Amino acid sequence: MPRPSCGRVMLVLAQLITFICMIGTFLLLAAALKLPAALATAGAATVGLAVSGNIGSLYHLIEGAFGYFDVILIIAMAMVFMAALEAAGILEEISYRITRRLGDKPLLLSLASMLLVMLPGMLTGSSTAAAMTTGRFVLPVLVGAGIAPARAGAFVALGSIIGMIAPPVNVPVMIIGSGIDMPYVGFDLPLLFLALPAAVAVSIWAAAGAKKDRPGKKPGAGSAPFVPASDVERISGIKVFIPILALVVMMFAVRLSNGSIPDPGIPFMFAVGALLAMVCGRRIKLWDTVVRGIGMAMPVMGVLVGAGMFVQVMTLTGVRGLLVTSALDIPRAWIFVAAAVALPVFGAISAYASSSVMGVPILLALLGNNEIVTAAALSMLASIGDLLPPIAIVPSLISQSSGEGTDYRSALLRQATVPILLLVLWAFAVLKWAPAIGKLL
Amino acid sequence: MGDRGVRGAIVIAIALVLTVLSAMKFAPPGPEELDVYPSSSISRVAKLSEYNTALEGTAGDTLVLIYEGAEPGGAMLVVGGAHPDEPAGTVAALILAENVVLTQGKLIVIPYANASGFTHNLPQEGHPSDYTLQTPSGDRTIKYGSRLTNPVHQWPDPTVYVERVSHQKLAGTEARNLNRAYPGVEKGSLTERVAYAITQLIIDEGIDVSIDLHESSPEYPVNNAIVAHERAFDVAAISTLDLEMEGVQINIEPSPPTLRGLSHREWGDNTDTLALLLESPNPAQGRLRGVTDAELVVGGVDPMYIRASERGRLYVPYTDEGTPLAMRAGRHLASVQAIAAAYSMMAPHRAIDICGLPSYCDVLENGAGAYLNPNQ
Ligand SMILES: [Zn+2]
Repeated sequence: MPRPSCGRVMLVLAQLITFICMIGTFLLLAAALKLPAALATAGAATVGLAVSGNIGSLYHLIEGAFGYFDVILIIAMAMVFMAALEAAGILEEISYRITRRLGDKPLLLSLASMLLVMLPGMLTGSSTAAAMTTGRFVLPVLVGAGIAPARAGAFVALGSIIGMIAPPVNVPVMIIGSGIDMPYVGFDLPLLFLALPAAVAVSIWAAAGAKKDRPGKKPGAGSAPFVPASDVERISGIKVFIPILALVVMMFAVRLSNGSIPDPGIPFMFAVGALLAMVCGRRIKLWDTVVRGIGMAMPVMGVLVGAGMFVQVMTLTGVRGLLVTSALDIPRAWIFVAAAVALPVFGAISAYASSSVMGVPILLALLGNNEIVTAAALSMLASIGDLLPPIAIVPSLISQSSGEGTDYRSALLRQATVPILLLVLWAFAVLKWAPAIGKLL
Repeated sequence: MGDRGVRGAIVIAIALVLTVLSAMKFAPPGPEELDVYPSSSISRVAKLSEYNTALEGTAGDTLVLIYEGAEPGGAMLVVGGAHPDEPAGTVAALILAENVVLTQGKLIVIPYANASGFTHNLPQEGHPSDYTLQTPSGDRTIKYGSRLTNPVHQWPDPTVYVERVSHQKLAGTEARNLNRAYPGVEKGSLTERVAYAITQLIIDEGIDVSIDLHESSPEYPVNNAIVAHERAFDVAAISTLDLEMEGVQINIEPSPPTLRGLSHREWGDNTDTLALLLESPNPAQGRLRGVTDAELVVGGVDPMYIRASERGRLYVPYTDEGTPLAMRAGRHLASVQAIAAAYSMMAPHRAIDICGLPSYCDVLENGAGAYLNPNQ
């Protein structure tokens, strides 16, 4: 039986009410009752299910919760890896060595750090992989070089995102491409065009901060530069680099083999890295390290479970469709603006989800605007969502793993505000002038 | 064990109970839920694993229905359910399988090509797990699945899926997309094994014309279309003339040579068959859709799409009537018949004569269920 079309306005109204109830519940639980974001999103999803008359279909909550299962595994193992490196003293040792070499050359240091931070992201397309490997190494180094902890954290977060965007692997572009049957071919130059200026600009911004921030700096615990108490505590030789090198080699090998080496997955690579950390540094307790790592990962994993439920209910009830249709319900010239707003905002739930849900329809609405450059720019806008609250996954991971608490996350986000806005503007400009840029490349 | 230990044990116990309860709901159903009641023209019900023994006993094995006419002729393959969230493909294949009267040639129908994909739904899509059509003698409930193989059957995904022919890079989840896995790998992943079996079937059975039944979202440019491999262009062109006389407007799209792993490309490149893929507009898989439920799957009416159509955002006509499943399955059926007729005209010694099927107008008027058997 087809739905009566006279009820169209009513249906849109129903979706609007559902959405308002979901957002209202989230705010009530998160802001007023101070519940963790994971429980607030799950609660909001449950209310959405009830308001739309679907409370009998509770299974949608469980199905949605599995939306980011693979990402959750990556985060869990990345955090165990970080906990192992920290407990084994490897993190401190490497930071100390880099600081000693490059500590007094801020620009060179920040450019080298940017490349290091970006590398895992470029190889895996995952900002988590970047932030939780080389990103965590350079954080104390930058603080040691006189950059304020909040700015150093912002630098790592931004670098992780730029690495995720940079070629050769950009997963958001692949997701957008699979929605319109566009092969992942010819993206290297446009992605480099987007990422390179951003990387250089963020490096200069961080280095400039070093001089300004030097007087009166108060480094916090996790991001403090390491000063060894005595030489006895130091780890000697090159074995300190083995875990991180092994990780990067595995990522490279899988990428270069073009499918002939089976991909064991990023979580597995992190697990191998964590095991190597045990034999390459100070003695550590396996169980305690795993518990500590999972404990650090827990809030972020929980948010992803809640966000999965939230998106599932949004889709089921038509709220997702209402948001996408509304974003497109404007003249073509304004779609560029809508893209610059909607992709990062939706990306705050998940950059991957934003690429699929918002990126694909926006690219379809912009066909003829040089699809390759357009998709590249859209992927950048979606990826920036990984930096944005309420979830702000990359800043959250950095502050969780540095053990500095939620205040550090807010300080980091405040520092990153202007660079984020500039990155959005840059992606917007590339999007807007995609045909001209396409000819240029 | 201290206080914390006790509390932890209780939390873990509760989590375990909840996990077991939800696992019972989500446990993949058995193959008996993918039912089909072949017409009396059937000469043999085979299994896909006959064409790749590496599929035996796996969740990827599926029914292959073989019909042979009294008079020898050509051979045609019709594949439905390669993407289990594109119901018109499955329903058209089922109507074909349950009504066909074959007088000349050979017809092979695979209604549930990615059987594993029918055992789950894609998280965050909010899709129903099934939908029900009214047949003259009772209800017929059909599974609505996911476009990807169930991760319970194939996991983990690679970070990046490198397609095997020209090493094209795709998002990792596409490793579970049957229509990116052709020509397939004999002992590869489950999805690759299924793809290999279908390619092998085309070769072993000497299939002249192969048709892959799909759907796409109304905002997708390739829609209401026949995507044709370059060798199949003529047969597609001739069939569209027939279709237009029946009131079915359809576009011909060339299979892009750069897009690898798809049926219309790899079947055509790796076998002698003429490879074609059909698309019809399914609002339930679109990104603009509103409320997502079985009613949207069958009725095909969505206020969001009506709005998008008024704003000129769609590539297919979309009015208050929407695009009901009957219309979409009817298009596929009419196209299969028109393609068989066109091929029979072009190669009379390899003719395939398909009878017994309802016309496009019949399906549109009476609904798809009118031509199906109820669940038994
Ligand atoms: Zn399809």
